[in-house]
Amino acid sequence: MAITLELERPDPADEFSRADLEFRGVDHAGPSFEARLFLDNPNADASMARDESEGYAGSFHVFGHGGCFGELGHCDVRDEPRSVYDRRPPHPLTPQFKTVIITDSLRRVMQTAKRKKTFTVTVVAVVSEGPGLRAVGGDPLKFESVSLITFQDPSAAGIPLPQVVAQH
Amino acid sequence: MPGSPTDLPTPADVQRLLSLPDYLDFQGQLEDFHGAIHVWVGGTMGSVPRAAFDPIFWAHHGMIDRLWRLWQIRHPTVPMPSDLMNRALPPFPMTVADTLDIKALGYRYASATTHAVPG
Repeated sequence: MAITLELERPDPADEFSRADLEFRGVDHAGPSFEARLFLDNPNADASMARDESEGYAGSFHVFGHGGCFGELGHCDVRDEPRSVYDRRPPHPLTPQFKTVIITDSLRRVMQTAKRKKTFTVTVVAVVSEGPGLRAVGGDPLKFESVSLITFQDPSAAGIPLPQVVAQH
Repeated sequence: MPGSPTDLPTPADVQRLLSLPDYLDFQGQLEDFHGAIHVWVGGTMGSVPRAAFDPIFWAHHGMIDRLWRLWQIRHPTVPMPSDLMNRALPPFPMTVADTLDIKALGYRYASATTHAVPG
């Protein structure tokens, strides 16, 4: 249960003070799990030490729905356009957005093999085990894209405008 | 069985969370703290439809609510999205904005307590 993606490195002249990996469209309909992130370590798996020497950069967590308990169609997320007057919140199973702050880890990557233009992000899903969980088949790790965003001054007034470095 | 205690958020993690100056940034990171504890406890707590049947659910959500309050105290002037503040909370006759003042809701969080017993 791992996905490896390649992203462009930031420009070495970009003296970022913060770097985020943003995951869009994260599915949370299945079991709960932790998604561990390893940089430049495509062989990472669930047994890999969460240590900076292994490229570990942090994790995000999915509190999963654990399967659909309703009638057929109950858990279907419909993407059809809605009226501007429709103030209902989005469907509870709308895919999620996750941000992991990887500033120090990315700086370590930037110090290695400086001629390389890219680095890899390996996402390893570690499923929460327990007697109360219903078995759900398949790989729970599904997302639409991941982006690397760097900020030069996140403490500047207001919300900083991100510089999108790369997206997959 | 739950995960290892070393996998839980540390006091330094909490301080980093509370120092985030932007509301949406804080919200996203707090949500991951929330999900991490559900994943860490596992079992019933690890399943959305059943988590509230585990008594620890209520202590966990009390702590998440406390972190939200501590962030508000540290960042009293940070603007929050108006569409979120105006969102209705049925079946309660309230909006999200109505929940910001916890004293009006009838509770508060102490920063510390001490006890003494006479005799």
